Amino acid sequence: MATNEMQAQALNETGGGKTSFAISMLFPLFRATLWGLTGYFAAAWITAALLGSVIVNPLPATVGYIVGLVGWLMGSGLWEGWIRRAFGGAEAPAYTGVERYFRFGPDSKSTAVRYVVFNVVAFFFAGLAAMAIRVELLTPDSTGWWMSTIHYNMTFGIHGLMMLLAVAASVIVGGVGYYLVPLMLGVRNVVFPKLLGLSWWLLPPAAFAVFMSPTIGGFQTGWWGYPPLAQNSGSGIVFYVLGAATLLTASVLGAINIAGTMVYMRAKGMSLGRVPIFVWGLFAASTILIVEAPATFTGALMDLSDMILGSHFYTGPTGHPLAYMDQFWFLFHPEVYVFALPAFAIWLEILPAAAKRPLFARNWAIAGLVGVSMLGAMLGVHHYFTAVSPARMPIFMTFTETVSIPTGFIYLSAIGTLWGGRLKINAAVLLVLMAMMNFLVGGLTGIFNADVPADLQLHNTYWVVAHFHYTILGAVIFTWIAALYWWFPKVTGRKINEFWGKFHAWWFFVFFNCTFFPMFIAGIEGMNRRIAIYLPYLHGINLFISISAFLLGAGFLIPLANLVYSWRRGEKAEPNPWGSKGLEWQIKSPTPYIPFPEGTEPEVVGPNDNYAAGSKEPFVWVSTPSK
Amino acid sequence: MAENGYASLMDPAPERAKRGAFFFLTLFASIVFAMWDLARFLWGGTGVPSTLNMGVGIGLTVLMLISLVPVFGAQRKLNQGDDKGILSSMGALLVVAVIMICGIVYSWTSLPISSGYGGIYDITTGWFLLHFVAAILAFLATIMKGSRTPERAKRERWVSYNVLMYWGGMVVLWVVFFGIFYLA
Amino acid sequence: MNAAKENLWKAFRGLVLVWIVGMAIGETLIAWGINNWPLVGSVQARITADATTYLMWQAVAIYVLVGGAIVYSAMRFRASSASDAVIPENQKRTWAPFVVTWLVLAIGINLANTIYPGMVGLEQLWAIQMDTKSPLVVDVTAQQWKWTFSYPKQGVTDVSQLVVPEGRTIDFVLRTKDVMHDFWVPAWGEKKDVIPNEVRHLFITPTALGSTATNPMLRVQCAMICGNGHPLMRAPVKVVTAAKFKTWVSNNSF
Ligand code: HEM
Ligand SMILES: [Cu+2]
Ligand SMILES: [Cu+2]
Repeated sequence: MATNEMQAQALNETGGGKTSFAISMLFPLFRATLWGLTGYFAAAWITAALLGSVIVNPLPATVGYIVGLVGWLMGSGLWEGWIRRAFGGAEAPAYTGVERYFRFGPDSKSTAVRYVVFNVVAFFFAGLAAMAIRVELLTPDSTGWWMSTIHYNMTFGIHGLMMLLAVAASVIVGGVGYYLVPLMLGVRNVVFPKLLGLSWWLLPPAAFAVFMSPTIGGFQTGWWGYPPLAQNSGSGIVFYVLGAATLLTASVLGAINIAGTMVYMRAKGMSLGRVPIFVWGLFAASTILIVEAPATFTGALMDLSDMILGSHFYTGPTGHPLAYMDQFWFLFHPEVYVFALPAFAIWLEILPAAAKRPLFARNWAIAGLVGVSMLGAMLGVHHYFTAVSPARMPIFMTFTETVSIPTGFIYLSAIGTLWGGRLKINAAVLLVLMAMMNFLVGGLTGIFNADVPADLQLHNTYWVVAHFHYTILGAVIFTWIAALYWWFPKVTGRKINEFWGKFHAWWFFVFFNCTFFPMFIAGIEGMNRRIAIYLPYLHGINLFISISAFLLGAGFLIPLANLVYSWRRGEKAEPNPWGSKGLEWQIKSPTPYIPFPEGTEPEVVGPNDNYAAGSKEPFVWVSTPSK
Repeated sequence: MAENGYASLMDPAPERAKRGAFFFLTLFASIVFAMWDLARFLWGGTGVPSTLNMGVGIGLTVLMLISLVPVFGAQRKLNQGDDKGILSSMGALLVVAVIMICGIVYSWTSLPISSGYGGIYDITTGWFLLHFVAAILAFLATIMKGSRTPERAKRERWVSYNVLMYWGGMVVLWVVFFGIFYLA
Repeated sequence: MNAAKENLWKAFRGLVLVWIVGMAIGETLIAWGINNWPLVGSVQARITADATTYLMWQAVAIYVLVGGAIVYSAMRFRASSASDAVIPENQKRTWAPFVVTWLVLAIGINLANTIYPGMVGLEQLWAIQMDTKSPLVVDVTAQQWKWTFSYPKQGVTDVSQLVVPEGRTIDFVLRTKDVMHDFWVPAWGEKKDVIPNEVRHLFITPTALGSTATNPMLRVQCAMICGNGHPLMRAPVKVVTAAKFKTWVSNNSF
């Protein structure tokens, strides 16, 4: 039997336990918190007692963090769910009902939903930090009643690190990607389901530690952690390093799963040429993480070692602080493509279905995604042209400028798809279009930073702050919200409220631009970044920016309310509300615990973006041959 | 507790995928070591301090190379479907890992972390040490699973393959480390 | 089939109109912005500002071409309603003239930018440095959180104000006593990180007379986060005539 009717069968039986939420389901979460905190304090205190120091010192804090992390993981269900079993012990039952959302487990769908929740929470707190920054900058001098310059420095450091590693790095890869990758590839789960489950549980303690870093003295380096300032401005840097390393590890675990699933587990008939473009985008991002994260990872550990073990990699008369920059930016430049490539790929996934046209120049788009990821490894130096020898300037300028060629392919493909189609502009599509416009500004202003002569003046000014907010907030976060709206019916079976979706899109677009465009001008007028106190001639523009920022920030309550409300009460959606040809929409919504029943599997028989009238369905359901 | 029926459905990767995708993990781990190896020249210069104990270094390296014998032996048994037969090899490798840890800790005593070479040597071997601890846990898990629940070990043979692959990778990384930190 | 094709060409004419109008508005705004550029106070600043303004003309042009195409095609080719079920006739997967034009332009612009303003600007900056026979040497010491300046040849040591003559190339020798800092006078159009255990040079040829009091762009500003005092790690700058500089030196040297 090879028909699409097959999907209708038996799916209900695989929807997982029909239990409803009970407070006792929070037990693993509670236990994880308890074990984590107890582990932290006990270990930090014992270490401090042994060394004759206090628990806020760097070494006790490090030991505490590691023990606390292990305690948290064990408490979350890692022990019953994985470790005990791996040693030949009893097997935990499969948690198929609501309880799977609250404990460690191998289900990629609940992991992805948890990612969304984590990202929202992290975005909220990091956003509050941004608001705090803007309150301080309402006036040129230090606003004593609000925060000192020390607190200001801690605040932008936490804001930056959290926005990057706890938000941007996983909003699309995690919440959207881990949900969709298996479904888009036509398999029931990723290649290492438990590793993926683990990746989420690494996030909360890491983010919590970074937010709590002021309690042990904070860190004033911003999110770069440059030595030797790192080692002499507060023990909080320990939480910065460990938090960043943990968050990176989580990213890498996800990357391994994405790459492995895409390479080894595609549905029958899905040649590489038929892999959905979104999976290509995630794959390109994953290769970056696997190949380039090690440099930064080792840099972070050496920074920490200088702090707690007395080594002198970057500090002291024999240290090489420049080497830290090399290591740090080796990943953290390409890391921006880890944020951006999945966002690009979302545009190209949504636009064909919305415009009812095939993806234009698909192979060029894939070349663009992969090309950017490959060039990315050679660009890091453009973040510190003001620190390097002249010989390195032209080389990295040339490489960096080259990267705009493959990036351009994304636009080529998107415009070609729109041209001559019939675009249905719902809130998600509107956000995608806005993201494209914002990224255009971010990308074009990046050329200034790549151009050494221009960058020698613009580097470390508000110009740069504007540039990267255009790319990350303006493109990645816009696209994140678009993706949440677009695939909302897949996850919840309901639609978001279109009116409030569009209303917020415009709100977001207007106040985003009002907040960040003036920052370009502030930069040109000589305002450097990371300053709590600025000269009075910059007051007017900063006042305007701050007020816009408050409106921008407040606006995020709209999508939050929209998502929560629609999840409970939203209009019921049909199985394939956008008429997409993507495989993920061939599966029942909300996706059952077992996405498609035992004995069936999809087979790909055509391109997944053929919208021509009367064209064949790209997938059929076939029965799995028994071995 | 009974094995649950959903578990295998929700972990659909075939052995080929499990073993193939493991490559990405080892790739990541090896590049971390490549970074340490490169860093050795930046911080350690080109010379080798006189306090470096060459004898211990050679001894540990030879031990690592010899440990390939049980690795290949176990691999062959796995290919033949003999899941029980690998347990003794795993035990031997576990002992090797313990000796390696002792050797590493011993070398630390003569190479202070505050010196250029000592710093990069200590942090690199520290990272090896972590991996040896992980390997010990992996061997222990394989042995215990193989003896307590042989059925499960048989069904999940890819785990044993990957554990062996992991150790094989460690051998390669250690030999490269030896070349760079002791000979170059 | 021809009907659809004709339509697309007609649509393209509309896009050209959007481009023309967008270009006119965008470039006018940029012209106005460049007219109001903050103080460009050194030969080097002229070079870096020229690079920046050139890229602005270009960025606006590209923004209008690409952004205009996005907005225009989203509006021109939108569905009539949410329930519109019409399938567009155009189902082309690629169209070589468009792809080739795009490729040629993208590669061309990139190569061009690497040469100008990239390499040309760098060569100009380097040339000043090479051609200077006897620069005025100023030792700059950065530390948390202040700047001190010494003029070794003039015998002026450890002053906290930077006084320099107009029109002469200065070799700033940059050192730090503790963490990283960054030596930056916004009006001089260039900055340089000051890195522990290293000595860096920055060559500047001031052209505009003035002082921090008359124009805040003329100030030494640390531009690399260096701890609590970072925002206030500034020092006043005074650019004076060569004659006035001589008197200042004789008043301040031992
Ligand atoms: C919600 C609106 C946001 C506002 C109003 C905002 C505002 C700011 C401000 C004022 C700064 C300080 C600049 C400085 O002094 O150097 C800053 C820094 C930063 N922001 Fe945001 N931001 C927002 C969202 C985001 C998002 C979504 C991201 C990334 C996902 C992000 C990433 C960063 C980073 C990486 C820094 C640099 C921190 C550092 O200097 O170490 N921001 N932001
Ligand atoms: Cu970058
Ligand atoms: Cu500073």
